[in-house]
Amino acid sequence: MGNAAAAPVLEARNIARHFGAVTALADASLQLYPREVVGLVGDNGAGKSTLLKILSGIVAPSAGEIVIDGRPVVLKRAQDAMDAGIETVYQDLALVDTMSAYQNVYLGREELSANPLKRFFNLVDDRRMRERAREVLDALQVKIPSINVSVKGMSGGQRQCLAIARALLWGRRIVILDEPTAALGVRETGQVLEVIRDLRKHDVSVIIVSHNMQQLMSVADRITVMRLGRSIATRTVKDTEVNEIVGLITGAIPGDSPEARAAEVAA
Amino acid sequence: MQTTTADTPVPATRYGVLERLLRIVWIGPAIAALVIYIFFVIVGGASGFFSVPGTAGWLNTAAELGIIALPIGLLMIAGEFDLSTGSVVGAAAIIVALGTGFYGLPIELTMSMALAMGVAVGCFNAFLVNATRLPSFIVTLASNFILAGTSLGLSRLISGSSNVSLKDAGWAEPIFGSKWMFFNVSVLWYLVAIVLAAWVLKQTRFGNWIFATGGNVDAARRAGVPVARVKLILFIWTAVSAAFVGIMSAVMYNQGNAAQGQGYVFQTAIAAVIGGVLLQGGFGSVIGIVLGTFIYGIVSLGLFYTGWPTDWLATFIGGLLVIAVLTNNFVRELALNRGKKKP
Repeated sequence: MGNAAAAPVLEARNIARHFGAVTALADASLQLYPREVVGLVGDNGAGKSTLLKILSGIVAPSAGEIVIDGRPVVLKRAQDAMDAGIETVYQDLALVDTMSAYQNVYLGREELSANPLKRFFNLVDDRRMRERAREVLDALQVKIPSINVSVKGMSGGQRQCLAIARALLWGRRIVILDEPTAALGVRETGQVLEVIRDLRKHDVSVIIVSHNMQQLMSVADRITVMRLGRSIATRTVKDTEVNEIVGLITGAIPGDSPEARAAEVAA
Repeated sequence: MQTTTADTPVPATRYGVLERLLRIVWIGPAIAALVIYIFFVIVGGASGFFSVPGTAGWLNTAAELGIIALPIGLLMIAGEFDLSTGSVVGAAAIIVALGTGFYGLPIELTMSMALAMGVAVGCFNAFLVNATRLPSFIVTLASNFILAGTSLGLSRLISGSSNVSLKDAGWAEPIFGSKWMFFNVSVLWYLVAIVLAAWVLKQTRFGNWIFATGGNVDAARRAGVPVARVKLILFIWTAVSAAFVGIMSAVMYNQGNAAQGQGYVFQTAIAAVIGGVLLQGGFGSVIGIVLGTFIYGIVSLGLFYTGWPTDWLATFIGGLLVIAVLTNNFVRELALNRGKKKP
């Protein structure tokens, strides 16, 4: 469960982003505590994807501050976000079809052999990578046919789980999931949600964007609602229900912050 | 590794011997090479295909082709293409022949100039591909023409001819031009190139990055693979290999011709594709490419030994290419879906 007493691992403070005259994000704030799963919801165009892109370093904010472990950070490139410990898992971009599961998990940071001679010749340690990949997949209880086989034949759920496992193996502490179960069947969705729950045990915090309220209620600790480019409310899952969240999304229930109410008046 | 499937959560499916064989990446070209070889041994064996000179003949052809076809194959696995190798071969040959044969410059200097030209062409190709995101097909087609025209024009301007003789290559003679029985020294160089390519592709990080760049460039980039650098190195490798073959041919045949080498442009790509490399990238093997060059060598020399008119060589190669692509698609599907549960 989320640990509200501790300091947040990630905090977005009053983030805004303008594209020319268009305001994609007016004022969004978000807190993510250690070992917590936060759901991010909102109607289309509420600013969720812009916020995600800012947190993954793909888009730079026009205003506001991102704080990780109490220190303000500037995320100019995707690599900056990864270096800061943030991994964003996209649905289609994540894996190379023609490569095997363990190669995908290790892609970009293949381990060199420990043997100095082999190391000199830049040889990778295939066996160790296989072992480690299997350990991580077992720890997350990800079930795939074989780690030596190309991921082309794997199901959407297995691929999603692999992408998440990669974030864990690479020591990321914050994982952002964009609609992780959108294209999955019921059983597959269950598998992915199980893996997301398991991430907590490994000291990983998760931000998850989803349109599926039932699903979010089952996996998230807190839910932050966005409307018209603003984060208008945050609810603890235990103390809320789907109707309230949906009301907040549609505007049937007013948000918490005075800015949000100001926005409503303006609208 | 076979042991690894034993302790995965899902019990491994057992496959028959035939099915396992079919799942080897280079099994298609291997079978093709064998069938074609046996065919020519039967049809052309009497006239000497299955003899030392006959064997040397197709190996020599395969070697000169293969030194360029290997990096071309790796480049294709990385999702790019290089049509400029032909002109690089001619330009390298004419640089060495003009420099050493016409001006009397030391051979090591002209060889370095030829290799430097290779590096420059590789950088040019990679720069254009990386900076403009244009298809490498167009970019390298353009550089092939630019370079072909330039070396022809310069050669004629300087020496009055497109063909310059190189009588004495000094110490380079035994290294690039010697023969043992009927085998050219190029076969040894091919062996070096094979070991280098196999090591890079199968054993190093860079090899993994080649597959990833061709397989899914966005995923590769997001995983932190320096995609542009991968392409740069492969373009340079290809062009330098082509320059190497140009130098070798100038020394071996004691002359350089600015217009030579254009045949390599398509022959290398054909060898790589027959060898099972996927044109769209992401799939292929060094053994496959080597077998592809063998097939090309066997067919072009074998046809000669059958006594049939060699005019039909291109027809034969073209037909082979179609068959190869179709079977390779089938074999690749099997290889990639290995381990997938059968419905």
